Amino acid sequence: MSYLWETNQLVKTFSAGSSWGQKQQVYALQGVSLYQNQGETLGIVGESGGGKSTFGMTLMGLHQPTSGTITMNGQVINPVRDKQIIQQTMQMVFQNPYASLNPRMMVRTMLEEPLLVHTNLSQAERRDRVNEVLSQVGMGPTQGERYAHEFSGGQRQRIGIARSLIMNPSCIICDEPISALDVSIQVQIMTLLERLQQNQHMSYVFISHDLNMVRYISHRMAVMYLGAVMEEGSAETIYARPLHPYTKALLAVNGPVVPHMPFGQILEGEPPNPISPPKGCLFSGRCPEVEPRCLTERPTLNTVDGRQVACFHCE
Amino acid sequence: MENTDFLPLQRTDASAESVYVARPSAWYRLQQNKLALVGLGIIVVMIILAIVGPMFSSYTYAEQDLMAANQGPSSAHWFGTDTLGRDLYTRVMYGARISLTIGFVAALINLVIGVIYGGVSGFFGGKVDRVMMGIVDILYGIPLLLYVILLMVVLEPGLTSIFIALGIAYWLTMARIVRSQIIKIKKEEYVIAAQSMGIPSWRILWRHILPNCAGPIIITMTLAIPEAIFTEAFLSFIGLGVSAPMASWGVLAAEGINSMRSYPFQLIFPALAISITMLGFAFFGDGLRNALDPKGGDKS
Repeated sequence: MSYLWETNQLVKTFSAGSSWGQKQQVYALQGVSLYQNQGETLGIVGESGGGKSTFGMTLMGLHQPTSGTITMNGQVINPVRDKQIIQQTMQMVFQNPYASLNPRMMVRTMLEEPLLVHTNLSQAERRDRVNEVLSQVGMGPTQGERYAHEFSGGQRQRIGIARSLIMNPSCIICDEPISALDVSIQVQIMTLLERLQQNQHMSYVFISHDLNMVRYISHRMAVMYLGAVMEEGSAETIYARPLHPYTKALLAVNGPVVPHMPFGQILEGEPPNPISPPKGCLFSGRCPEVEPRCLTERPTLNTVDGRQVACFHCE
Repeated sequence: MENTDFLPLQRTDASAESVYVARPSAWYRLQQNKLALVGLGIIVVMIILAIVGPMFSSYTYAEQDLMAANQGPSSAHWFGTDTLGRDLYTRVMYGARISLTIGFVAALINLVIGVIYGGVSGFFGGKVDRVMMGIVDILYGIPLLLYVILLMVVLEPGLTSIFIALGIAYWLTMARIVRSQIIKIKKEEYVIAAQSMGIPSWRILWRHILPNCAGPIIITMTLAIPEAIFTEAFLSFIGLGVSAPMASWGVLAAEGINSMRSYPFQLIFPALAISITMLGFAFFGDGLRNALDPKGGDKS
């Protein structure tokens, strides 16, 4: 079957000014190949600066990829030229619900705007559609007449989800949708996302650093480090038996449920500067299992134990 | 745990209605702000006086009566007369026409050229921004006086040349302020969200970014009006502005200064007119900014 979208060796570099006359490049994405099935949740985890958000933005057509291809609905697309195709397929929910709603726009006006731009619906039809998405996220039509600052954080995030639903996409990219919310509200948002998936067969790209939430909602997951995928496969298998040393390290420091249970070994150091990534394995600088080969050669993704891992130790 | 445990609280429409208090409109909130209303009142009265004021006087602004020079305020001459015996009331009312026109033209130039120029520059960024801001920097570098004098070579001194001078210089500050605001706001998530919804650039600029710069724009505009009136006064004072016997408030004040010690009323009346108008614009601008901000609503 064909995938909803598929990326092949997606690379994104940003220029970061010059030093001594040489132009410097930030390697934000270093050849990411991922795909998504209809109705599935793909979790993407990793440390800050791992390229998770850049991947979501590039997929959404907000960045022009430096190289690599994006295939959507079975055709290769140019993210900037074919914005329409992307926007019909995917929408985005942002991290900070306090910053992602225009403070000077009524919620209804904001939700109505894409309909006004992209469709020929009459005023009454637009009104009905807005009321429909508002009720999908558990809000009444009268709440549409308010401004963003009159809502709480959770309500705002629900409005953000309503906005992403308005054009009826088949996939929503959730860029850390719950990290700015408190725990009870997080559950509310997760429940809402699940319900939409059940009712509308919605697919999600769920970008987060909350490993438990990713475990909870994802069918498949990808672990990213320094703009590359380290391990990718079924969420259940990866959590049960992590293979890549980086995945192991992440899961080891994931908050233990039992009080006073010791944390696993904490990774030393910080991710290297993406302006000059390591020549060999991207994780080699911090890997507890590093060996000489890792410093000179970069491992590629290999299928091991029903998943893909980029590590020499797992071949 | 059931998933439904954490579903959003469902309200019936009736109770939602009772919780929700309709947000008052901008005009209503402006009306609540007494100081802003006073400001608006001053501006309106000044405009009306500029139009009909001279009609109440039996003199014209150019009529000289040397026998009645330097008279104090009386029933014949309400604001007194100047050194050439011209009726000061008539001249102040005529001056209002010129000064207010200049003020409004300056505001219009600020709003139209400044906001569009700064908006385009900040929004598109990169090379466009560098070239456009380079032009602004160059224009900033030329002293006002220099190109006003150069303009006089081509044009007669008078209102037209003052308008052209304002047109060259008076939108620069606004362009810079709007640009810096837009550079800040275009990185906000709601703008990125609008982009990802496929909203066209001009619409994002117009509907999402500019309304969020309304505060600084209104403040800059309110400040530009008195500044323009003072600039005109300065240009007229050195003989590059409106020429005698026409008079703006600036000219009248400059003339009044000469005889400040002997006939202070000649300075006080035009100066009062300038001050009251400035206050009116400042009050009104401040109130307008608060009224347009959905988060505001208090008078502070």
